[in-house]
Amino acid sequence: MKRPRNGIALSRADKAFDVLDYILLTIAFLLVAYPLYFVVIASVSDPIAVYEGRVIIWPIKPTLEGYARIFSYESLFIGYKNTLLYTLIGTAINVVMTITAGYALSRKELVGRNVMMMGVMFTMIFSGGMIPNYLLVRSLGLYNTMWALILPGAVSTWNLIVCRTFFQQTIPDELREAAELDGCGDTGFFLRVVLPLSSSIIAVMVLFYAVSHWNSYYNALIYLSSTSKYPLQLVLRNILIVNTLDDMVNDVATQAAQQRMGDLIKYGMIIVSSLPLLVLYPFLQKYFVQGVMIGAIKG
Amino acid sequence: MNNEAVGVEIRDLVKTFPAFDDKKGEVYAANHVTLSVQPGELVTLLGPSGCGKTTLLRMVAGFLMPTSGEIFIGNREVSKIPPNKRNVGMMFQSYALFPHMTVYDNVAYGLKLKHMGKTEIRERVKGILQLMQIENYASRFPNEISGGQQQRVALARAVITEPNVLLFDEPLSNLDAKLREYMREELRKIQKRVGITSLYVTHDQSEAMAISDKVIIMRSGKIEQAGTAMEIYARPKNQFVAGFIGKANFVRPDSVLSLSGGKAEVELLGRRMTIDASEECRNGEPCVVMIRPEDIKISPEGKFKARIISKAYFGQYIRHFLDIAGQEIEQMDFTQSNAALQVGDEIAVNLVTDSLRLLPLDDTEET
Repeated sequence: MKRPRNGIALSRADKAFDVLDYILLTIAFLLVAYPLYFVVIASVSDPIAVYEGRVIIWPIKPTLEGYARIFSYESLFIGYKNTLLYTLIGTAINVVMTITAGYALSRKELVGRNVMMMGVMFTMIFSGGMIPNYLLVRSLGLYNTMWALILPGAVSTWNLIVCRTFFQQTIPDELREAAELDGCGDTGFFLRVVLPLSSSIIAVMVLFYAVSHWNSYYNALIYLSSTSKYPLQLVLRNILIVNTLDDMVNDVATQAAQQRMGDLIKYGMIIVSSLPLLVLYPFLQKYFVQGVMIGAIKG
Repeated sequence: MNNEAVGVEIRDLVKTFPAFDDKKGEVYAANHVTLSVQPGELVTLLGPSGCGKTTLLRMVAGFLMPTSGEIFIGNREVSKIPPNKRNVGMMFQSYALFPHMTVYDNVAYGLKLKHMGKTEIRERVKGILQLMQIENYASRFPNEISGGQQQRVALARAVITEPNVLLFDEPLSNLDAKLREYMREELRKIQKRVGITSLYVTHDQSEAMAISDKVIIMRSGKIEQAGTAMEIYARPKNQFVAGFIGKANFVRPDSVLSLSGGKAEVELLGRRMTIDASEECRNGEPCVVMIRPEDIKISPEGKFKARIISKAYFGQYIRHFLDIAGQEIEQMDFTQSNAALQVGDEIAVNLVTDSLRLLPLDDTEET
């Protein structure tokens, strides 16, 4: 703390400010990081120790029993497969549609651009509601298909606005005009110039949409009836229910043990469902921040 | 370059935009503009911001459709055909280089789109990079080279497809003053070597004077005057042109005694003299006399008494503001033989009457 900043000695007030900064940031870090850490140690600790609140810093009586129980369900792997499929196909459709629409809406010469934008904004503020959406999905023949999870939300209005703003800010008209003079058409310009210059916004969109698909739970609950099509989140929910609620068991001790096992499985499931994204997140974090900033600068 | 140079002819070109403040009104960005550029000539459109020079250039490029009028490139009327069919090249203010492509790929891009063979592309790109003296930077990306080198790449990209006309949209405005001066000489050299007909837009009068065969001064969508830099500087048609090209004092004459045949007899600063007059001056209408600061000579035998109000040293010259017969007049002394003069000194000056010019009074804000 005593080291001068850029060769300029710090005043007492500067030093006090720095100390306060470090303290506040450390508290903020602990508030965010500790719950994550606790989930990890709780998922491999003795459920009784977790229940009694003795697991604080280190795992107590480490066990992989929870994970063993989770992975004993074959439906878990089906859920993983389904979620992976929905995430890959859904994200691909989302990104293609959002990027192309965002680029088109960023072009000043698009006739009716403002009217289209108003239409898009309208859907962001007002929606039909759950029942009309359900009826629409049914009548389109999408019920109990993966398309019910993908097509209704193929373009997120917020992401569309983020994309449009990105293109407006980063692709100057002169670049298009230069390409146009060389004989490059709109599609050629989009594919050869715009897309290679838009890797950051594409990464942001992939991240936004992929996280959304990975965590999707509610739509699957409404639109899917066959368990073989359930995504991971729904499968995990079912595993949790099976392991915590058993009305046939009257023995209090067995019920308590089942409750504790349920808790252990709960922590294990959080890890199982979040791990793929947690692993990817550090690599995509800078794009995530960039994406949020684009939206923040101009809507 | 294999293409034979062709000229550009603009006939009665009009471009209007809806006015912001009045929904029924229109703003003229180009107001019945007629001009011609001879084959191989470099013509500069010069004027203040908003005078319509860039609009005119963009209409020649095909990015804007004229409201009416015709544009000819060679013998071909092009005003209704798309930019890529006009065979024009353009150098943009920001250079518009593709940031994800190397220098080589940027320059070769137009040829690739024309489906030219790889060997021919390689030969032509190599040749043009050599001409621009950037052959050592072929594999670099635009952000890895300097502003001056980027400009050469932009020029190489603009001329590689052998366009009939080359358009420059303020290509030097992003460079620092020293590099700008160097690059404008380089641009001119390359343009002459390639022999391509060029239309150049700038708001920098020294740039226009340094590189142009012909300068066209624009204001409010209209051409005020066209001619060589020397013609425009020495014989401006009106007060706006005189004020835009170079520095000038505008002094109301005490009286205009006669005006005919391009000459006027006037009483100026208490003395009678005969000076040149613009053809736009009319008998009975208010006029001013243009006095360039360098046309006021400090001399002990001077006919006009003056007092020094202020003085500043600029290296190449000393600038004085003088009070002559109650008028504040700027004077530039390039001889520097009067460096010892101080503010408040009473001196005598002469006017180079051959360089004075009677112009119609212009009381618009843009002057």
